[in-house]
Amino acid sequence: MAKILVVDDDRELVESLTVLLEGHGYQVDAAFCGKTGLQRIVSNRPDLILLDVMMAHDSEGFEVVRQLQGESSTHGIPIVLLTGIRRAKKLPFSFEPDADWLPVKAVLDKPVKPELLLKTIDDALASAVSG
Amino acid sequence: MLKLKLFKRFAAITILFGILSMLLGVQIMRQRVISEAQTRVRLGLSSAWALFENRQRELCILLRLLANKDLLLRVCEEQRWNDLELRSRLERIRASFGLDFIGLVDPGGTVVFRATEPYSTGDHKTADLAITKAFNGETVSCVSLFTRAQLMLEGGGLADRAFLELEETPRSRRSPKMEESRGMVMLCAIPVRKGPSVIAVVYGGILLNRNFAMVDGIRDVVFRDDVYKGRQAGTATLFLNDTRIATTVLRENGNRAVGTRVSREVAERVLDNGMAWFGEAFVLKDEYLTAYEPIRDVQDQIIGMLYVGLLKQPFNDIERGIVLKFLYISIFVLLVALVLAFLIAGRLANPIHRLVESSHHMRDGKRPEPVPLSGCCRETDLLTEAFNHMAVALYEREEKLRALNRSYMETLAFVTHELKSPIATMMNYLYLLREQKLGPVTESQMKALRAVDSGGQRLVEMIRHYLNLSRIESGDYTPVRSRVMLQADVMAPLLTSLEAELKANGMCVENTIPATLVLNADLNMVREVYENLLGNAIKYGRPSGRIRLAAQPVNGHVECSVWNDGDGIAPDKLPLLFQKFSRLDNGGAAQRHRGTGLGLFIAQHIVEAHGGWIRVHSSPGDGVTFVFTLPVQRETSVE
Repeated sequence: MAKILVVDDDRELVESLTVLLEGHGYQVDAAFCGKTGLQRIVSNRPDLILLDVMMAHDSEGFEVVRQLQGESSTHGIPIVLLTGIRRAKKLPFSFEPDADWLPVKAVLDKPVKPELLLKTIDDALASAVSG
Repeated sequence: MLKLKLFKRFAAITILFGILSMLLGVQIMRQRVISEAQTRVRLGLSSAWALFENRQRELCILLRLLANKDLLLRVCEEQRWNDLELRSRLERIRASFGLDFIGLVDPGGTVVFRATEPYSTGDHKTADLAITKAFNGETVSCVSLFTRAQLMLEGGGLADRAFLELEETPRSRRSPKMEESRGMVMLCAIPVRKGPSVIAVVYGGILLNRNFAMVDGIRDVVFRDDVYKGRQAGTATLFLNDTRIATTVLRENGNRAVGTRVSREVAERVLDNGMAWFGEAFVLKDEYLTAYEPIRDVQDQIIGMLYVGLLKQPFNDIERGIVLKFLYISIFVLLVALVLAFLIAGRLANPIHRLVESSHHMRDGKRPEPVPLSGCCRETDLLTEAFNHMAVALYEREEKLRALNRSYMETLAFVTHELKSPIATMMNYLYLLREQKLGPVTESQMKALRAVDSGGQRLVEMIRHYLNLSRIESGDYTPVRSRVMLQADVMAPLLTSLEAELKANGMCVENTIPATLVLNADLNMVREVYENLLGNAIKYGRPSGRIRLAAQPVNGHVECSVWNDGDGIAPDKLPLLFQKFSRLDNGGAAQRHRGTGLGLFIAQHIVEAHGGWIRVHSSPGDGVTFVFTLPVQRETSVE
């Protein structure tokens, strides 16, 4: 059973995602900020991380991604970014998965349809296993 | 253009008045030149009369002196008419004073003495009124007509001198007369007295026919300096009736024009009506400024005319010279006036021009520069000042509004953004409920869940649309291009998220977009376009209908189309589709689905921001097709 870590500062959303993912047969762990998220990653070693970009600080999610990428032990864990940022912020770049800059499996817009979210997670896990 | 318009009006007025004043000026100058000249001619005739009368007076004085000569008195007293001494004395006096004849008449009216060859005597002068008057004690000085017979009697070849052959003259009265044998004489008759009684009359005179000395004298005194092209411009003439008997007028061959006749108009006025003629008249073939007055005999009958005249041509030349000079000056002044008009038009129009320019500037949304005051007139300065105030006020107000709108849009963006997480939560639970992951759901509960779900979808759409609108309004919704696989990056996730909706509506999608098609575009924007178009296709398409997606490279871009088999849109409504907040109210589907009215507006903005176009085709029975273009990726290497 795959382990998924959900990191988001909206507790209700985390709760609903937990129920949704558990209902879909995943084991779910949750963290409400980037710092605890990182601790959980180290302690729990999840198979996939569902990460909100904008938590308490605007770029907390990005920092989590960078740190994970930096450590060899966490390097291979697939990340799916769940964000409301890219249409609200005036980012000077296309906010898309990028091997160097944003090494994540997928970027999804909040609010994402549960069907799409589940399919994306399935695909990401499948490609991580095969890759 | 205002400047041109003003200048045209100024110029029209200037030219109109210029031409009027020129015409008037020319008219006045012509009249003045000619009337001045005519006045000279009129005065010239008075001088001519003075000379003529002077000659008559001389004649009188001479004869009066003779009448008191002892020799003459004695001869008359003694009636010794054949006195040779008297004859030789009088003949000498006659010749030296330029008289043509001298004679004595006895109280019986018989000519008893003549001092001119052939000294004929014995004829009667009883019919001669001048002689009769002299016998009554008067001194008579007059002009008289002598018949050829009378002239023969007076002797000295006068009859031959007087004889003139008449010539046909253009413009003169027709006359059958071929010759003039009469002579016009300047005549004087003086009574010779012994005590109270007149014992004889002495008379003498000058024949005026061919008396060129007389007319040359008049011409020289009156018009000495008037020379035109080497010839005398002034002329003087004595007429017997209408015939020139002594004149300075020359024929073309250089001979004096005696025997020619005066023009009909002059003859009628002067000879027939006894009036003077002052004005232009033809003398032979040239135009002259002329003066004619009748010559009357002792019975006050008109027997001829005295004439002086000046060639008109020199005055025409003078007149032309003056008029030309006047015209040159006028044209120069007119040109100066036109230049001034141009400058004034410019001065008047420039401030208004600047105002127009500045208002265009403002229309384009730029910060208005204050229009400088021209200082040309108070009204335009006032207008400019008012305009400047208004421009600043307007701009400030617009800035305030813009700031207000910006903060409104930011608030909108913030609020909608903050809605995202709660809605995501709701959607997750809705999904779990709908999929019965949280326990079984009854039929009516399921119906309610579907309604809540559809409401949620609308909320999601609204959030997307309002966020995009706020970015478009604030002007920073510009594409960040990257390599986009249309099928894998856009269509696949989109179709997955729409799966439930499509299924609920029983619709099937025919997707013929090639997997290899790569765009050079903003991925999120392309997703947005398809999300809106597909969303519309689902909303407004026929239930259980079809949706067809196609795309193909055409001329360096990709032409994409989204077709559904809906009811179609009325042709007059098509242009409204892409307007902000436009919702077509065509009954049916549109009222079932209330959208934001922003989807197509945003789609159009995105497509145009990529340098493409979007169009809609619709015909009843053929569904609705949206066609748009997006840029293709150049280096399409197949993966």
